[in-house]
Amino acid sequence: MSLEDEELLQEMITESKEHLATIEPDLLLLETHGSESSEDVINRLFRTVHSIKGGFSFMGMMNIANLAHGMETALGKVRDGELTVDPKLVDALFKGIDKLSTMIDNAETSESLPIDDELALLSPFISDDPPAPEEPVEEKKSVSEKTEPKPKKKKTPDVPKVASEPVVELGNATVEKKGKSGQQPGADGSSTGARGNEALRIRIELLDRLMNLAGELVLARNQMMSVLNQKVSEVMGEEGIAGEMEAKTTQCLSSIIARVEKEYPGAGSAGNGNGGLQAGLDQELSRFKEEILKSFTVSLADISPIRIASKQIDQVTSDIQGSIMHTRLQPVGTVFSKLPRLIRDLSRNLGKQINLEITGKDVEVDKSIIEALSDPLVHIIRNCGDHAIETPDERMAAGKVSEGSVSVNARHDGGQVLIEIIDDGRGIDPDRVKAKAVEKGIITSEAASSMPDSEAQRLIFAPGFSTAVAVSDVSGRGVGMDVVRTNIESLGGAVELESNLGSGTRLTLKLPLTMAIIPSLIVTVGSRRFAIPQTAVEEFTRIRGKDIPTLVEKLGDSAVIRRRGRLLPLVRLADILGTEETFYRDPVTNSLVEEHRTRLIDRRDMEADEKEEEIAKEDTSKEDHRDHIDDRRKSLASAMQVVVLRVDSHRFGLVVDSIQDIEEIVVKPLSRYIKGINIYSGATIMGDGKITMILDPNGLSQRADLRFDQFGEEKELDAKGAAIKKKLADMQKLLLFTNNTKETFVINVDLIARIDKITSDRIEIIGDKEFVRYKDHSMRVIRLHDYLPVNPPEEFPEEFLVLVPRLVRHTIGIIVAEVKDVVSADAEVDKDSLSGDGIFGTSMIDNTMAVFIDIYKIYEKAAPELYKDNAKAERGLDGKKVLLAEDTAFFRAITTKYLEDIGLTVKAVIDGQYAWEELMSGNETYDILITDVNMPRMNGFELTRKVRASRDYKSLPIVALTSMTLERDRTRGLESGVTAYEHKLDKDKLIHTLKEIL
Amino acid sequence: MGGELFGIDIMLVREIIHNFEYTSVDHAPEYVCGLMNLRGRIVTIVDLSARFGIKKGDGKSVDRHCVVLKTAGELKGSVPSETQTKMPDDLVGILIDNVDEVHPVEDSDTEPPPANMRGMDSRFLKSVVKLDKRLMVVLNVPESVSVN
Repeated sequence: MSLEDEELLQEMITESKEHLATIEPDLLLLETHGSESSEDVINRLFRTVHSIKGGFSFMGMMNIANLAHGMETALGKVRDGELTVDPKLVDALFKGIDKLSTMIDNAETSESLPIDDELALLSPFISDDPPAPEEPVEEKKSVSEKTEPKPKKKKTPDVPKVASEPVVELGNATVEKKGKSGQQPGADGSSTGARGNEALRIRIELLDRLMNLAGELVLARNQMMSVLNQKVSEVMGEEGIAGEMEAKTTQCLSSIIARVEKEYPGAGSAGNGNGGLQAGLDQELSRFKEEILKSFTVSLADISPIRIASKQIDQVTSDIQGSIMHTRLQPVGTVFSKLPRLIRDLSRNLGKQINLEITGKDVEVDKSIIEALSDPLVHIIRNCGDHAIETPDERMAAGKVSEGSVSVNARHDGGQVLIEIIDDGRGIDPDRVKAKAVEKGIITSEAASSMPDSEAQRLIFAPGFSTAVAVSDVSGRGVGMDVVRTNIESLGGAVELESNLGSGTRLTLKLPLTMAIIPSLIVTVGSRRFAIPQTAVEEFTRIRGKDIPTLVEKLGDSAVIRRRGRLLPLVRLADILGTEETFYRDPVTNSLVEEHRTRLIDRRDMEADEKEEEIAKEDTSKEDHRDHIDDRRKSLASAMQVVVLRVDSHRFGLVVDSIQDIEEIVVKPLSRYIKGINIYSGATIMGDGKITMILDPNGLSQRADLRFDQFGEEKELDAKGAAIKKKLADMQKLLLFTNNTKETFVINVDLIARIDKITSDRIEIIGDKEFVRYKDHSMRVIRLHDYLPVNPPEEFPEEFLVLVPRLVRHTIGIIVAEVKDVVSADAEVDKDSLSGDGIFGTSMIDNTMAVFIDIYKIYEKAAPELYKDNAKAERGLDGKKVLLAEDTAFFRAITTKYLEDIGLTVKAVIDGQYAWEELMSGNETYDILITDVNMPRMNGFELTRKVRASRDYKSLPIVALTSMTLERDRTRGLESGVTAYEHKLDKDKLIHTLKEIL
Repeated sequence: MGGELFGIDIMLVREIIHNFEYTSVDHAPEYVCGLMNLRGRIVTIVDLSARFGIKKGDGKSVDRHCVVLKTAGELKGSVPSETQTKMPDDLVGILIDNVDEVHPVEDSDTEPPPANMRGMDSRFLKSVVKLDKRLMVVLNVPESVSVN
């Protein structure tokens, strides 16, 4: 084959594949509407097959041409009304299409593939029109004239009903109209995508290269910015060259004078001669100094255009990167388009009725992800049809409609794309899965008996697992759900599973938008940095040294902490890496001291030991001092930074030395020498040019040999553990700050969106209000002493902080002088010691009395026009009775206050069980139940389910409150029957919701 | 390396880098020192002394040198395909103590390596060349940097 022919063939193959992609949906339409199908659909089918026939017969690939001819003939008859559409015909056409696509995929060998079966299926419909062997010759000419116009298939609907050569005419028309009317609406709105604008085919390798180059550009930009910043601070900074120069000059001056004094005693003193040597030198040298400083200013002035240019480069680089990334984006619809056909085949073969609903076709993701998504998706849908959806009889017997439904929907969620596959089938039976897993030797029967249901259901992802009772024609082709999971994870995504026995399954695929650049958390161990993909990071937290002995528990061989009612195994990154030595900075000598017992558990013991030792020595004289130092060391040096990572549905805490920043990093693949090390998923080059390894959470948990089955949610602890559990459940993260006065203020960290560092020159005063200027907007700021009965600061620093709250309607920043600490504390709010509008009360935190501020009340006072009227409007709620179930004292106090403020009568109880008992006792009739989600004894969801199942309260409004607003939890909550789901601290929304409900 | 004179076919050499920094990789094979940033590309630095059973270099960061090899892709068409296909696909740098000089070597000057060449595994050796006063061991580069 000549090179030219080769190119032509490639072109034709590409083009034919595009054609084939449009045929399937059209055939499905044909099947649904039968002979009633619109002419457009039939015409489009006819033309498509016709052009495939034409093209390949021109290339002498008669097998393809003959089969296409058969199909074309049948379609022609349908079009001319000589043939009615029946399922057999559609089947034959489908089979024909399958064969065509196989042959086109293997065009070179297509001649050797048999097409007899497909032709035999078609023959009843075309019997009076046998395939004409001379046809190709006749076609040849026409085809040669029309090889390049592509969008024939999309041409206008009013093609005359003439069987001969419609394509040529269309082809010409296409050329003229190109760019204007590249699309045809498609009578039933099913036309495959519009391509109105001029488009160009670009080789993927070229895009890949551009993408790589853009990545390099990002790196170079980062490096440049970091060098530039460093240089500027070298010159301008406190210890910068300019400062140093000045100091040196002064030093020089005094040494010259000293020298002169020594050599010529008396010469330097004033009054001797005219003006004295010192004065003269002084003058000379200070002029010299000025000169030097001036020259610095000049050279600094030179830097500023560089800065401007570099800003521009920065911007352009980001744009380039974004645009190139965009060229690689494709709608997920391209993968979804296979699914209707798949469902159709499945329903037919299995005698089931399945309705497929697809939404979010237009959501775009990177091409590489689209490609890798295809197989897993097909497998999942196949599983849905094969295993999940019951036969119509089974469904009727179970009280469901006979038609099963499968819905596939894609949507954006932050930086991710979520693809949900939801069916209303039989759900995954945990017991059956367990039995199977035990039988296959995946788990032991002991493990099975204690395994929670959700965990058991996830066993379907275990390698070598298949739940099909009989391996059917459809599923069971050697790929299991484990492959699905592996594929998705290798894309940097995750699979979540939720299944209810009898009512259906929801599978959520979480995918990154693009694979090449990912936001990552940078952490350090010793002097080394590592990047952790942000998708795997649930949260990060700091445990103070002195809390370690009480909070870090030992379970089996592992160190664990309790978080949000779960046991969280802790793993030290240094241990995983095998880094031997760990140092901490001794606060007394300020030198690095090696810590010998580095394992976490040992460390915990060590500190416990020390405590005991201290108690034993209590009567010795120097104790006070030592005590102090120890406490300081524990809180400063041995604080633990924990990054909570998620692997599947499990979480574990990775202990690192410090947590730095979140950066966008360009992922570079691992070299083959280190590919085998499972704890890394790649490497990246940081802004300073150094290489940083990207950690793979999955690999880390494997390397640490974490066995999550012992950390189940329901696992009970011993007596001490239970106490810790209670303690942790009551912990809030609190931000302590001061205003250069004696008062310490405290606010819940969850209420703070961010903290900005501001210099006083950025404050503008308009009327009696202060505003902070930002680049593109300004924000009002307030000072606490203007609205609270607290002391005004005597002085205020030039540089201070602004707390920017979240969960509020109108953001007003709060000016603070200094943030003291962020602590996790078990805070009891004392409402009596200090109260007033805007103050919840006080609390002892770290031996300091801290004032708990009520941000909403402060806002009402600071901006009555924005907040106060709302407070009044809520009076409609007066006297309504609320039952509040909340186990955390702090939140119980706050929520009660919020609710009472708007006129509600609140009865607060400490867990779900009490709430249930209170309701059942009938002492009081409540208008609404507000419940926390995570509570001991009976959690919020269990409570909701019980209430919903009861006779008297099944329609009682229920609002669930949580401190985490995860979409998954929200869904779970709404499924269990709560009326609404709100964030604990978001007073505005809570009240709004209450107003709506009551 | 380790006081011995080694030769590398110059056609396989991309460049020689001095005084570089690298990031070590925990759990990597012993002969992998770490990763280096070469103008935005990542180079794996290998120390072959353990592999060759010779003395380890002093490894002081001040005078570190490394020979960065061309990748299989870069070598396409310039060396015999049996060598080309065995070369790594990504950038690899061999840690060395010092660069001597470029010696032109005629095929006729080379001899097959003796079986017990200083205790080195013969699969890493290609040939031995007699220079004025010294013997130079020419490395079988693809084999030396292979992943085993």
